[in-house]
Amino acid sequence: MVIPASLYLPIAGNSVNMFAILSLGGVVGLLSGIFGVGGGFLMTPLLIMMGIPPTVAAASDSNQIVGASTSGTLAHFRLGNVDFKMGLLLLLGGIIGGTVGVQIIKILRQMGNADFLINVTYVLMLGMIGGYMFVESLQAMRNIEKEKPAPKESAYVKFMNLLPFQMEFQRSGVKLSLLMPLLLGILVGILAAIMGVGGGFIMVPIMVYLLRMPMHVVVGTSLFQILFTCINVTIMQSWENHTVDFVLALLLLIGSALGAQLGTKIGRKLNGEHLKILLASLVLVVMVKMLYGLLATPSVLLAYTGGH
Amino acid sequence: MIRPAMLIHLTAAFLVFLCTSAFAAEEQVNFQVQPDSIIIDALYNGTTLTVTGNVPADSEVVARFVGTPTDLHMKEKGKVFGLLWMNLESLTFKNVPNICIVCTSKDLKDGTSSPNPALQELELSGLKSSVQVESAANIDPQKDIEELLKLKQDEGLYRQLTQKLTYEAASSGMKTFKATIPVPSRLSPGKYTVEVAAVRNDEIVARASMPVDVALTGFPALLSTLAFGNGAMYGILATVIAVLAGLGIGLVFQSKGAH
Repeated sequence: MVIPASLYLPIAGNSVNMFAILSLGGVVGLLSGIFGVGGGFLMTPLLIMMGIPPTVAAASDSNQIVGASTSGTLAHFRLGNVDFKMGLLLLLGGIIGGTVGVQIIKILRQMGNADFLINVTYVLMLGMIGGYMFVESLQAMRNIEKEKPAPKESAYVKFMNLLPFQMEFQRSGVKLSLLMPLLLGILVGILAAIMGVGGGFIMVPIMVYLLRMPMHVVVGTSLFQILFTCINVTIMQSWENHTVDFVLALLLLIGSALGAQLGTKIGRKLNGEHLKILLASLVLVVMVKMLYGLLATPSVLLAYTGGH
Repeated sequence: MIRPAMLIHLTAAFLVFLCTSAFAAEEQVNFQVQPDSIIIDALYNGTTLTVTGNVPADSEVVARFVGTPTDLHMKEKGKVFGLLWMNLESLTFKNVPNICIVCTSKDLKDGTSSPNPALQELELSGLKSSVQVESAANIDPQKDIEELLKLKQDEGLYRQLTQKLTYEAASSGMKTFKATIPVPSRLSPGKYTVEVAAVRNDEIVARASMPVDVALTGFPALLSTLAFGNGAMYGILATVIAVLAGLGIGLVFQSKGAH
């Protein structure tokens, strides 16, 4: 019996090779399981390269992330790596920030040059976050101990302790004001809405460096939060724009859910510093790719509207 | 009784009629398309339309498969501060067919643009005059249209092919032709047209067209109806199935891990 390799996607309006889509899902799911990031940064451009319209690629990707992050969250939950209290506060902040961010982007677009600001901010943020994580993890791995904590850091700790509504986050092993995750969630929500991405790349470093959460709990909690963000995006995109191709999402999902399980197992074998340095490398690769896209002359001087 | 003079007149009239009829038949294009409609099922991966017919023996054939022209909203890329490439101006291309596959027996005018506007209209380059651009700051619309043609050609949606058309022996002033038009896998349901023109000395001597309907069937049709007819329900279903699939795969891994 011959298994047909191609499948027609009615919303995307194109047929695709099933095995190519399954493999793509598998690779992205692997990264999702290891690092707790959605993987939209990688999935969407690759889908566009396969002939999927940008708007359908981005929306269907969100649908598949729902499945992958469910699988990933479940795997991390079993390992005790999901801080629900922290996740819910970040999620609440993210929803508020996302709503504010959508309004900000409208104003920016009216002012013109919004794309320039978005792209430059993105590259700078990825460069700073990736560079800092990379250097910091490298130092930690080499056991180069700082003689004294940086003054900026201690001022930050003092500031955190001064904030009201202090709360114990047992799963993360930290005590801080509930305003912190809420405000940081709003910040990430605004940035994610402006940049048109899920926000995992910004959220994970914030959890590590500003909320002082252990890396393994960060990954599980990030996946938990991404799950809800992508549920919202999937329903909204289906309702408003009709751009979710469920068949495409399901194929990606099968690949990515399997990949996410494998990724979680790989993640367990890596220590926190290894995870951080790998994530930092990935962030830097994405930054270089974006920078190249900004500097190199495009082959065609037109772009479809929509997409990441 | 018919007089000889009248007989001569009648014979002359009959001969004129015969000549006129022969000339009219000569300047016609007759063709048929197989299949005459395209059904997109779950396993659709492109198809081939076979166009067969006859044209005047001393003419060349141009056969096209084109989609209904629509508007297309895009962004024009440009450099900011002379350094960074960005999406800048919003453009609307008017009268853009989503697909245009042109088959000719040889390059019209050896690949250069034909001076005859009617003939040029049949070629891909003819879209340069039929497509219009709307933009707030429209600097060079022709350049934008050329970029659009380049993009569509990169996507395999606009093609001009010379190897897909063959002729058979001519008889009675007509010759038969066969064009095989490759229809891409990137195809949306809707109204399409197959056009055939007979060209002689850079002039279109006859042309005809035939509609080809493209429709979804089976699972793609069901999914499309739900997605466009009840988007919210479709979104909720897509989410629920994704969550269940994620949980299912998670549980499978859990049970495997227990052994």
